[in-house]
Amino acid sequence: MEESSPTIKGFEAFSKGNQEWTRDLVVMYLKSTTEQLADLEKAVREADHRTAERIAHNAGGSSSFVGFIDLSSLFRKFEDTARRNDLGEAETILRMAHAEFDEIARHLNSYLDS
Amino acid sequence: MDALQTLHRQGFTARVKALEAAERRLGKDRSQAIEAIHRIVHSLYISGDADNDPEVKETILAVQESPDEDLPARLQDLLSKLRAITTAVEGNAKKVCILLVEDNSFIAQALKKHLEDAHREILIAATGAEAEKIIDERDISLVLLDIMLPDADGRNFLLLLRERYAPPSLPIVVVSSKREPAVQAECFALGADAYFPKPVDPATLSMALASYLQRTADFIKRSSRDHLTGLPNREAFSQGFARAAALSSRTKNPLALAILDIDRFKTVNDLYGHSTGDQVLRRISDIISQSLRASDLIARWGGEEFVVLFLNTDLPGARLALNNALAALEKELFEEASGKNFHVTFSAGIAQVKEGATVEQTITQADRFLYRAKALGRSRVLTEIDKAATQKMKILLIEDDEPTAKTVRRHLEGIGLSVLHASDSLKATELISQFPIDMMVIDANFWGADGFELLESLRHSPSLNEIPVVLLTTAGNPEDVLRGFVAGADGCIQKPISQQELLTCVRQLLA
Repeated sequence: MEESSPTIKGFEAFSKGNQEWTRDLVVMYLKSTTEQLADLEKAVREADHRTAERIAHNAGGSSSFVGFIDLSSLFRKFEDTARRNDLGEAETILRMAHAEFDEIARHLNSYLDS
Repeated sequence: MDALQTLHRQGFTARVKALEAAERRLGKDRSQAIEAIHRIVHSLYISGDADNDPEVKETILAVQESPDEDLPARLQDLLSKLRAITTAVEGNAKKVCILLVEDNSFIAQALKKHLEDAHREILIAATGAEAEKIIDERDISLVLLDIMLPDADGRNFLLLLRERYAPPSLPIVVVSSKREPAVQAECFALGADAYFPKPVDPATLSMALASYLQRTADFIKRSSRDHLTGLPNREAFSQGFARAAALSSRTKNPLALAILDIDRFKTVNDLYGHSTGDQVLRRISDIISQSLRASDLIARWGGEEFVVLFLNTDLPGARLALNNALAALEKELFEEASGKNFHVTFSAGIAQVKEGATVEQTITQADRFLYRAKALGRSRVLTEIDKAATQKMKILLIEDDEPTAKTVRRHLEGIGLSVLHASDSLKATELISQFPIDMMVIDANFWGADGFELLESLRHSPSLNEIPVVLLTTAGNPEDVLRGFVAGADGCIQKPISQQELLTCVRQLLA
């Protein structure tokens, strides 16, 4: 059997090897994280640090759950800066999170296309 | 297979999965895998899961005594037998419900996919308020709780669960991204049973849940089951009723409650002894349970009385189900120790559960139809839609003391009986000639006549000698009680009248 890529392993741990479920989870993760990143940008623009903190907490939880530790750490950092109401610093972290997520999304989309 | 067995099965399934995982490790880390296999197989042996299956028990022993080189083959043999057991029970498994309180919808769905199986249903609540609603309406066996909720601090919700809702046996497992020891310690202090920091390994969490669920099953078995029949007891039924009533109130789906009483059960005990009586009760509870749906809740209410709660069922539906149960029971031939055979039947009354009604109020409603069923000749099921049930049972009260008559009338009418009152023997004779009487309550010393003589003359009348009679005697005259029974009374109650004593006596005689 072909070894799964590390990107997919985190999803497979939850889907018990069921491919259809794995795909469902990947689609759900891509959709929710894309939306969360957009919501975070909006919260930064509107200087709504409470909303930013809550969304970043949620996004970090999802990413760490399926093993994307680097992205999760960026969301956690963002959460800390939002809690301190330091949205200037948060904007920088958000750009890094975007870049990290784009890379993950590229892998996940090629898995979905395979 | 009932919910309790399903809870037990959780531990069994977890052991089979652990054994499969250990088998996969044989190729990579042989010596550690062999040790793990021996530990799990030993745990399987002492759990008692294989006690009813000698073949499986023998295969377990074969694995335990196996030399290392034969272990893989013997383990394969054991696993195939264990998988066959798992498959056989999955078809009719009633699922246990786990409530997952998690506001992150991705994490909730990922956990649901991993934790849900043939035995478990995962219900998701994104807020504390949603979780409260689910707990009110569903029978939850375990709560998996994220302590960061959008509408509440999960620790407050944990406290609320322990204070207001759940029985102490309900396992609460916290899953949280908060890793600080102080937060974990606080959760344990508030009543959490376990704390898993996120990200959690889903397979480990699944095994842990199986273990908690099996322990819960052991606790429930001890605290909420009737020891004789194994059915839920009165308290467990009342809890099930409260949940079903809350759900029915929201969905507007009908809910019906029935009370069943075994006909002439005292005679079974008197003729064949209490040991046979106990066996009969156990067999009856099996027969009735088997003829009901998995969603119907049957419990032993006490003595020879059973109660059944029919979810999403109207009166004709509940009546049909109980008539099927009665037909199944009528076919059963019971045998006592010396080989004598006998049949047993039951009578039942059914009431529709009204919005806001308590279990006691609904049982009182159903009781009325039960007594009517008894009076009409037993071995039947009655509801308010049956024509025969609308006719109230008539009690003739012969009592010249107005306050006493008023008290007795109030108590008897309170349980749905119709009371005809005569304050002298002339009026009593007139009423007897006009109405069919189901029971008499006679004052032993009423004005212008002697209650004992009246009772004796009744017992000599071919048309009236089978009517049950309760004699009201004066306190401080114990000889009156003896005289009453000699004259043919079925029950004697001393004045002043105790409501509980009167109703217990009347219920027993009408049953």
